Amino acid sequence: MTRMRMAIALAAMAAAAAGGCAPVAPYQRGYLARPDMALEESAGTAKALEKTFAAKEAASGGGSVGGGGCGCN
Amino acid sequence: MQAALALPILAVCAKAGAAEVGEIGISTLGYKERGLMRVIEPVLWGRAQIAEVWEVQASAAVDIITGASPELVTNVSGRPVQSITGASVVDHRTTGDIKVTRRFGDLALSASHAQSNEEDYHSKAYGLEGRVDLDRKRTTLTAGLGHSDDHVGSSIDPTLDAARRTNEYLFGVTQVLSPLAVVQSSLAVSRGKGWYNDPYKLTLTFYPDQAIPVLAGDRRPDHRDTVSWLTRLRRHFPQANGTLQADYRYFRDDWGIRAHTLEVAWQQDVGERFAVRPALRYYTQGAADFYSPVVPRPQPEILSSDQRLGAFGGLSPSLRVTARLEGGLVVEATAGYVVDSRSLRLGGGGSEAFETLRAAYGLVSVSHTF
Amino acid sequence: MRALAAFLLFALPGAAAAVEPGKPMPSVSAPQLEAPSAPLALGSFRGSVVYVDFWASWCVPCRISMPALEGMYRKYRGLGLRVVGVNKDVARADAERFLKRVGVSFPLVADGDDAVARAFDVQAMPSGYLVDRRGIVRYVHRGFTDETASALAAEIELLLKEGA
Repeated sequence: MTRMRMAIALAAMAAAAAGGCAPVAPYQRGYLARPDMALEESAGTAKALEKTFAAKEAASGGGSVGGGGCGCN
Repeated sequence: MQAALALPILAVCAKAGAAEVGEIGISTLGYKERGLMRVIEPVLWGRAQIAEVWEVQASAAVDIITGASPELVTNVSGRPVQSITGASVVDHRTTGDIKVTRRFGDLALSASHAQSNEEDYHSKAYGLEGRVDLDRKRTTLTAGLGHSDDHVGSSIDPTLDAARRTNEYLFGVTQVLSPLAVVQSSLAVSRGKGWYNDPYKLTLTFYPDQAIPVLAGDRRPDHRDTVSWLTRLRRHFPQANGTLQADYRYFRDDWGIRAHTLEVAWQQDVGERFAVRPALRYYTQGAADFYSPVVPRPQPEILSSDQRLGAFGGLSPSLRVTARLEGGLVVEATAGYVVDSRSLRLGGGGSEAFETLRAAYGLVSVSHTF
Repeated sequence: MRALAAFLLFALPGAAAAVEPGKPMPSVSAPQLEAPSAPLALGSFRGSVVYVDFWASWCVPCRISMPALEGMYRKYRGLGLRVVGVNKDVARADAERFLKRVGVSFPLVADGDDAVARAFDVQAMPSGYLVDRRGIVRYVHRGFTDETASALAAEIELLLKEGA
């Protein structure tokens, strides 16, 4: 499978997983407020695990700025 | 084999959507790799809302790194391999950060500062971020600026005192797709100038037609521009009592590196108090233009045999168990395993000198919401 | 933006007419939060001044609005004020966790299927509808601040003086 086809397949799966778009009323945020629906990086778990991977990989960054460097040798 | 795992603590922020006033957390990460163990000490982490319009988040951590890091890549045996030359060392790293946010209706402005210090590395970073909620909070736009100043030294060369400055720019969109799904996509660009060489890494290459081998230090470009595009999806399935979490990041820089990261997790509610989250993270990266485990002839100006700049792939399964107890207490335990190898690279072509990395980690955290 | 949204809602077939001052309160009933088999009909409060408040555990200003409403309920109950809290949480456990910190004594109903919120065409969280003794909505509050609390107290006193 070429990379392009894989990318399209992944995007299609993501769209299917998202379940499409639907209007959301201001009072329909109960599910969105669940902790497992959060998108922001939490100060602890995610940062610690990210450092674990960032120390061994060339890629870095993503959701936030001003996080400072890591002198990971 | 290294001794058994010590368990230092790192604070954790358990971000909740419910309307709480603040949180405080503490956690421990233990990481063990063949030849290298990394331990992180507790951080007093806290998040508090003040007077309805202010929010302060802060955390601090201490890393204690014990073990040895591969420093030399040599082909004395015929093919290039990593070898550890230094003795076991103990390294301390302390980090701290603080972020202050002020709400103005649908707009929120934040300022942040972070520091990281260890014997041979110091970093100070500053960030500014703006967030605006549109369409009755169905869409959120984020824009951010960051700046960091790093100073690199060397414990084996006291005369080294090199600097590096990086500017970062971020733009992101968060969109509520339905009462059950939300997606976020953000683009981060960074421009850095200064010292990137690793003062501890060397390449020793033997040639068949030469008696004397060539010893080259780690020499990287004096600038690095990166682009990182991160997309996250969260979709809850009420009938299954579970949530699908998927994150994808595309990374590229002007060193020639291209990397993809994909993490998919399923958080399953178990009863009213517990949740179990199996996850799988896949990573693949291409090599930097100047990566080479042997010194080419003629010797180039820019060269590094650091396998973190090579071509490889990594797979990391993990399992997290969360318990929500009385009084706003949340206890979380995560266990994971990491394998990085040349054969896991997407499409093949992993660097021949890449030595497979195997590591296990465990993270335990306790947080209190009030 | 809000006007456009309201216009679109009117244009959509089957959309509820916006509940604004001057309109009668929708006569809906909903299961009580702690007794799901015993529904509470909003129409049963005719003759009293009623404040219908839409709240949820994830609603940040509700941390102020709920205690404020509890205070007003206790103060004006004897004079004819009734308060009904309509909960918009998806799980009862979330509502209960919130109520442990902010206890209230006025009746609470669960609106899991959004029937009540749709009937009132709720535009923000929290939203409060102050209804006079004849069942007509007289004041609508969207969001909640300290100013809302003082304005609401004045409005309640005004409506309590009116006869049925």
